[in-house]
Amino acid sequence: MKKEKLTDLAINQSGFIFDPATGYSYNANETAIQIINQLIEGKQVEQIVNQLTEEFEVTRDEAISDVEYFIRVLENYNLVERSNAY
Amino acid sequence: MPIKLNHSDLVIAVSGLKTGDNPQPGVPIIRSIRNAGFKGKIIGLIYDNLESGIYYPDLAQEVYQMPYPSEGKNAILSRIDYILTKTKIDVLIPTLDSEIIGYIRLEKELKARGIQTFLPSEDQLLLRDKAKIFKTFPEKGIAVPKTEFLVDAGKIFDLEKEIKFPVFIKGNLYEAYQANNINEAIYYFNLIREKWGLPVLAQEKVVGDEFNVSLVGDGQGNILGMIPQRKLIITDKGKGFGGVVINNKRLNEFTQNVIATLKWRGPCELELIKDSHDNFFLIEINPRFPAWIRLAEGAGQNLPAMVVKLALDEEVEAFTEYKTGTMFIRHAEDIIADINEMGQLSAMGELIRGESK
Repeated sequence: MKKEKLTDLAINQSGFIFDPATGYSYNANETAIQIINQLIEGKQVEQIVNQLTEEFEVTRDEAISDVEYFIRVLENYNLVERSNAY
Repeated sequence: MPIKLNHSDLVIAVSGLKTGDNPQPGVPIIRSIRNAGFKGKIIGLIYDNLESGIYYPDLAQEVYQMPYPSEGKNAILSRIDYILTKTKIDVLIPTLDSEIIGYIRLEKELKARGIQTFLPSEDQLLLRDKAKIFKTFPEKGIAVPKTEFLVDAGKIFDLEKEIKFPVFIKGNLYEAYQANNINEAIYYFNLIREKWGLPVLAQEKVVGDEFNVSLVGDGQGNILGMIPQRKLIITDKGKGFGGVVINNKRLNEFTQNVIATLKWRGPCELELIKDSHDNFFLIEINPRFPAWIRLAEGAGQNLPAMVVKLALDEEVEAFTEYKTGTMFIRHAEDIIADINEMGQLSAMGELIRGESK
């Protein structure tokens, strides 16, 4: 997954994200920010899923589905690029 | 380093004081110059006594009506000679597309009168003309939307073979309308031809995000300062009424390539579009500061103050940084004034408010 663009994002504590390369801005909740930060740190999807299942009361399937969906949202906004699905 | 203008006895003349729905750059240019600490006199050069900046408190100490650019350079020069009987002018910053060429042609005469400008050469100006832009740039690897030159309405019927609709029908200096088919193209062609004359241009519409860059070129192909922004609010006239400063490597390289090609001297504004494949297209180059130029000052590059120093042949250091994420939103406000001020301008063609600031 190419995620260089994520490292350029300006993310503030209230969940406001500004992309300096395009001028677009987004609002994200706490979990979404957590996932973005983990992607920036270089964590794999599986590691993120593990962390979510530990922290929240969700099944592994739900966590995979949510992370997959969120990565697709990021792809749709052209913030990450990847060729294969999880 | 912020630019300081510590010249208390300097007189700066600026044109284009209209704000409102189709704002001109004069008012924000003057405000940026003042915010650089300038305490000298500002003179407004106007074409219409309802230009709102005339009445903006403490903006211009003196205001003079100018002849329209179409009246020719002798009319402009003779008006300037009259103004010089009232006050000196050290620096003149023209801000309207239609008047730039006149002041370029008058550079020598103005200099002889002690008036400095910082403008491109006539050749540089013509290379970025809307009617030439699609010839000048593509061969330098700078993409420009497909453009056709319309000199009569008959040419419009061939458009469909050359360009995909929708297209923008544009005047050479002002106005552009989106035409979705030949009938609309003919309507807008006639509308623009009647108002602004020929040539009229048809330009393929590129779908994507609109970006603008305001910059100052040194005349050798280098950029002395530049602020790129993405429009956040676009009015029905296509004017950007809100925007945010961005930092995009490809846009910066694209802009540098354009300025290196032109060897542009002075202020200008680039209008760009980025398509869905991240390709940038050059839409227009306006040969003056834009009306949103205070954003440059806000982001840490006071480009109007820089142009004053360049006009005075003072040394400047190129700006290398700016604050990404700085935004502007245009705010309309009523100015309260005495109608006698307008009366004096109508009757005398000038308004002198007394002591310089």
